[in-house]
Amino acid sequence: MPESLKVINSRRLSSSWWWFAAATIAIVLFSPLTVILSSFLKDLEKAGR
Amino acid sequence: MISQYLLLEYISGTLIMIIGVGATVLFLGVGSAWIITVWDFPYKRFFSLALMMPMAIPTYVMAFAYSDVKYDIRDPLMLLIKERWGTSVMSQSTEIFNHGLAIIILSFALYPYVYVAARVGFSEISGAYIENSRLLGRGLFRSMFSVGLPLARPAIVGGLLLALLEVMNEYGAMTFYGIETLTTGIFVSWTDLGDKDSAIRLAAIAMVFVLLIIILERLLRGRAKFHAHRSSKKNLSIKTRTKFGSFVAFSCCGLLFLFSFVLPIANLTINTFRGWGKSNLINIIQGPLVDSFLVSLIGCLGIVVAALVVSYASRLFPSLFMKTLSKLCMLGYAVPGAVVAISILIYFSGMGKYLGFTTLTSFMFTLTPAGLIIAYFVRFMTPALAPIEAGMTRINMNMDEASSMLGRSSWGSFFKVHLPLLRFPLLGAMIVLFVDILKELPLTLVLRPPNIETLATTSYGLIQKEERIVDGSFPALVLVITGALAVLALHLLILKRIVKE
Repeated sequence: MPESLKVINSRRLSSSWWWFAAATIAIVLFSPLTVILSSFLKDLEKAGR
Repeated sequence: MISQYLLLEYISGTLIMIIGVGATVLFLGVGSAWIITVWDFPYKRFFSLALMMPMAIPTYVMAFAYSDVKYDIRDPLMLLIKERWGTSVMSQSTEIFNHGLAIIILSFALYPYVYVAARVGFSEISGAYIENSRLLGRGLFRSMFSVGLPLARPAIVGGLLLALLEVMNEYGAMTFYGIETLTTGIFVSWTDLGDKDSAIRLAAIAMVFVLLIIILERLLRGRAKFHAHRSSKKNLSIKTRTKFGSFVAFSCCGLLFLFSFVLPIANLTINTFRGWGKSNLINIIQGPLVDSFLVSLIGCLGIVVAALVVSYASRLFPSLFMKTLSKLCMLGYAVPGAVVAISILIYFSGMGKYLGFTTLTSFMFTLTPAGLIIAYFVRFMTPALAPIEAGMTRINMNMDEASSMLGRSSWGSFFKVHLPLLRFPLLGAMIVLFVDILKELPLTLVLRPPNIETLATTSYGLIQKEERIVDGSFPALVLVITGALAVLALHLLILKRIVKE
């Protein structure tokens, strides 16, 4: 593999760490709130029946 | 399960507070912003900053500071009503009095949100509009309704939204005045009755309320597009000065500042001096002060780092997915603290059971403040993410390309280019976060480990639970002083930035 491609690949890899970190943070922050949302949806479903 | 009657009581209590506080903060915030913008009167510059200062006083501290009204005015008045008209009239009057008092006191603490937003909104309007309105025969007062308010509507509605979300989140002031809202209902169901299902149900209803408030804000903004007309250099700052006008403007601003900042601070200070000789206040405050500052510092640094990661990732990968992730991170700010607390508790205890790691709950909530810090992340990501994202968008993309061309990786560019350019928004975000965490009450009350006491929980415990107003005033005063210093620091930071630019 040419040297320039290696550099580009390594840069892409280092950038993807940011993507994974941001996704993890968003999931950790949002998932606790889904507990209340799912309970609300269940209540709505019961009311619908 | 929670009874239908109680549920209606909580919902009506929340609605009354939202409508009452909403109308009062609009009146106080927009009125004072209009006066400061269009009238020229003595000490105008002082008042333009001073009217922001009540932002430093947490709503429950404002309620504690006006405890004299509760004990010295309400109670004797209600006894008089009981003697004259009987118990049923007294209980109705007490309820009306409590609601009225709570609305006024919460409005004193929350009007700065609308004031600041309205000032920004009015400053965007060109003075030519008002001049035209006056040339066509309208006075300054009528011009406010026909020209100023419609043009500044998006900013004012934004400020109103923040104030209403604070009302939804309020716990300390509501319990102090005995007002039943969804947030107090969640606490009663969870801590006093141990009824987990009812607490979750109330939390879900509170979320629906928040959603409705946000939808209402969108509707109030309307579909109309608002553009500031900047072709005229003259801003909306008409120098109108008559003796009577100056007197009225000075009196309005002076009275508002007196009732919303000077009197509460004076009351807390007097109570602190009264308690100085009687109890050892230094001992009372020592532990909570260290705990508060430690927890706030850890939370604030962690949140800023997380916000930096999310905003930089959005810059590197500008896709719809990343935008959605960043919006999801901001969702927690709209959710009341009590709802976040319950979500975190249920989520981690459920996860502990699912993974077969039963000590996870005690590790998160009893042995360490890890659960509390995560809850702060969920609740306070927006005050960090919003200014940092705004700062990121101000950095030209050419900088990234130049840095990459010169051989820096994304990490190198971040540390050498973006981080130094983001120092102003970072500092601003850290100040806001530090104070927000320091004064947060409902989250901390539910999720703190037994060995951690913050200034907010100490003040609340001493004044509300033990009725030791004199002892509880000192931690409340420390909270207010820290908040006031933060507001001043932010003001200086903004001034410095304006001068630099």
